[in-house]
Amino acid sequence: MRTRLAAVAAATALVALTVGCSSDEEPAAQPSSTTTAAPAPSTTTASATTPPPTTEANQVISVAVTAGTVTPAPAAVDVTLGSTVVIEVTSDVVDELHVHGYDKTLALPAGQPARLELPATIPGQFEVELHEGGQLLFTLRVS
Amino acid sequence: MPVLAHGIGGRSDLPIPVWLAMYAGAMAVLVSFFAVVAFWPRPKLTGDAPGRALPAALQRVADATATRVALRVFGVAALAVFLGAAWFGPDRSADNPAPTWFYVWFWVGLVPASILLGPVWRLVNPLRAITAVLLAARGGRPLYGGRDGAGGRDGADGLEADGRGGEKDDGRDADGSSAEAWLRRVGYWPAVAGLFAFVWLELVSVGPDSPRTVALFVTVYCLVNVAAGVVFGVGWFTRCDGFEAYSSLLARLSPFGRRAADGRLILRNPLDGLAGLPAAPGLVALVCVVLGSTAFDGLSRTAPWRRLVNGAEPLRYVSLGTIGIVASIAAVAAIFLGALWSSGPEMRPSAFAHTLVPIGVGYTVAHYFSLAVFQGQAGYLLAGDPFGRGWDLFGTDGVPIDYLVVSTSLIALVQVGAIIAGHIVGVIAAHDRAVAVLPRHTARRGQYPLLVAMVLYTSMGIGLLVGT
Repeated sequence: MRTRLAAVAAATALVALTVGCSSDEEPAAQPSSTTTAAPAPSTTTASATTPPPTTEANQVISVAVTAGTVTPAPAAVDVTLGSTVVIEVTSDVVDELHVHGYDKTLALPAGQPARLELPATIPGQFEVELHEGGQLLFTLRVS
Repeated sequence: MPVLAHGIGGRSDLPIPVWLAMYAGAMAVLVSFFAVVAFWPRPKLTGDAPGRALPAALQRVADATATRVALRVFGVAALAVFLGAAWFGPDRSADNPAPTWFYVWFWVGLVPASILLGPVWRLVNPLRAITAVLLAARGGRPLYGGRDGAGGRDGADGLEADGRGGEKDDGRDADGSSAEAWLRRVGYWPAVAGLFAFVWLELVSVGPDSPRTVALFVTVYCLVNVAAGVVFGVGWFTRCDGFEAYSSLLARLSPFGRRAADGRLILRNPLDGLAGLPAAPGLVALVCVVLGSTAFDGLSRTAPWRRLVNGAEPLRYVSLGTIGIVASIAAVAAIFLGALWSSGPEMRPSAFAHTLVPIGVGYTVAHYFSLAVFQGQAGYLLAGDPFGRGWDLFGTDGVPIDYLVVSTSLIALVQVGAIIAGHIVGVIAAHDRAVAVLPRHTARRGQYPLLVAMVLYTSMGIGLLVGT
């Protein structure tokens, strides 16, 4: 009885280990996220000259908020640690975007897209939400 | 922290890698089987082991009136500063330290403080001090019932029975005080209500991190408990004050204890301390509320839940959350009670409630470790200007939270380690109690249902870490 139970336990553990080592992590559902080859212009352009083109691709996350509903539905967006991500939000009412953790805010005019460039330097999962409406737009997953 | 929180809880941990989750799950199963097969056949934990007495000098300092008074004064002062900042400081949690003090320093901080040092909240609890002052005019006599049987001195109020855990309290009082009799009958149930109100506020309500919300909750909580203390005596706080009951529950795992026989402070095996948790009505419910609410905290951060509450207006959001937290607590309770019921009549829930405490601690550490390390910084970074007047008492004005002070790898290891360690301690405690109450020939078979329940809890805990 003792040996049998121990054997079952060892077998279970072995199976679990094998499964664990071979399975991949599930890819997270992403809202519309496109990668552009050219650098996106900064939202606070002070000088007339455009910044020199870099070889880095910037990830763009686009979200629209209409009548309180967020499109696409909130999900986790994976971003590489150290890259720069561009968040583009179009809200039908005046509101304010807030990125937790990074503590960045962006004023959103009614009906017009607004862009925020964010260097993803802190790892973790951060909620991106609207101050007035309170809606969660998406969760930024930096790793 | 739920979705609509502004200043607190906006950052959560990365999901742990699946391989780590599988290793952890396999370890949990392995340990559980090994425990049943190979662990000791007769019980070793009595709950009142003599332990090793601490130096007499330390005992004198700990028991000195000056120490006790200083701790109480500190408690009252801390409450006053907290309420001042919460009511009169800025109304944004990003600028006001009070919500961080409450949810992180106090609620999360009680866990390591109690486990390492013992029932700290019982010594610091300002509500006890306030009640004692109010009752002083009556010579310490509570309003309900005649004599002051229910709780004069700290830690020796006649209701704390350090000893053989698992024995059911029969409700009869020894010395005829009706307040004490009522307290024995009602057990931990008021604490269950108080803690449920707190976790509901923290996890379900809209905008729980707002300083005024926190101020209102704490004020009402203080008023209700002080009123109850005036009616039933200072002994009310031992098992009926949610936070004190929680702290005392955790303190059973502390290496520091007090010997029942002579009141000496001792160094003891935490497992023995855990085994000595005194049973009383409502204990199982108390542990289930703690474990269930932490599970709901994890559940509310998963993508399916987020989609469910997406765009919900406040009433629907709160309704969904209430159903969710009640369901989580009920599920934890159902698994526990169902497992014990199927094991046989000797496996009484009150005798095994203590085995859920380490699992609850594992869950709490896993979910709140990074919150403590990161959000906890706001407690002192913002403390330099608690009333929003532009002060800078500690030179921390404008300093942001340092999110790089611990790595995400370390966080993941702590999370998984805590869940597994909680599981192992729970399994050991359950095994020892099972061989104490079960007849020899059914000792092995009778343990399986509870072990399966624990593996289930641990798998759920690990699953919540992967599934965020």
